[in-house]
Amino acid sequence: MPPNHKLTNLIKGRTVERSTGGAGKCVITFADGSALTIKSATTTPDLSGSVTAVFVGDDLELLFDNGSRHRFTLTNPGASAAVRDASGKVEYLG
Amino acid sequence: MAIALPRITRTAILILVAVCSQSGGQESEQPRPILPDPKLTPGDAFDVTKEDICVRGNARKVRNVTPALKRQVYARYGITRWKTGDYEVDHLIPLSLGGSNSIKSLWPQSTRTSPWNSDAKVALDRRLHNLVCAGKLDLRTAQQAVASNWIEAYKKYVGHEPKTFNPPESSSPDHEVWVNLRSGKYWRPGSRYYGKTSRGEFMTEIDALDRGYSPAGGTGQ
Repeated sequence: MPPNHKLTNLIKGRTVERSTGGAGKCVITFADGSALTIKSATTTPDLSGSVTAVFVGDDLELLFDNGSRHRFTLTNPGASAAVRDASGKVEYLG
Repeated sequence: MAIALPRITRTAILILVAVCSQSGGQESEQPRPILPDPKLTPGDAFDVTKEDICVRGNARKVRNVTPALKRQVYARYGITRWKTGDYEVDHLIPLSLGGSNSIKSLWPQSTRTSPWNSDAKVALDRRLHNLVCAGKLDLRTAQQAVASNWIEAYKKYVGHEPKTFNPPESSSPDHEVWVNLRSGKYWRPGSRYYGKTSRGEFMTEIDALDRGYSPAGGTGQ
């Protein structure tokens, strides 16, 4: 699965504050108030740490500075990930 | 099982494949759809609002179609040979109207048919975006119009048929660069490293920029 430089450059260093899930999507809220929403049937894990890299193909995989990594199977690749800043402004869609 | 080939052989194969598939020297005999197949390309959109899309630079921010995905799009439409510049992989619902990068929204649109080609589609996309952002057209209505039949939408919202033209034999506004995936730098045609680094990939320059790569040495030459 290839690295997604665009998304990595955007959220690298952001620290997870909480992760919630339900209704086919996972919402990862970062300490700066921004949020990554992933449409996925994968159960939302309890995430922690700062993002170091993101890989995206049919799945989306997040790598963290604490060595953990989590993979989400995307419901609709190309239309399953969104990052909005604390004010709700679109930062990334893909 | 993967076969390990010497670096020079791998590079030669890559160049050969690129040359054969994209600049065959013969006129392509492949179909040139002016309308997408609704089963393959029904259109797909992000969960966005008018406020999200009416922001300068929005489309550039969300564009993300990899060369591998483009190859999938061509394969789905049975297009196995083409010359660079014959087609553009078009977002049926454009990014400027909230269209997604899902394969459900992508199709190979001819640049060489006349008058219904990618230039006309771009004009329609721009017109619909302006109407939506001016509050004269609902976003969902615009998305549905372009997804159901973009030519009819053009006639309805642009109002006149596009001019016919004689397509040039070979032009490529979407020219390809060679990206060194290890360094994140890319090389333009004519550069000594174009197609020659050990770990690289051809892609259009706009895709390379969108994926965060930058021209080697500032110029790519």
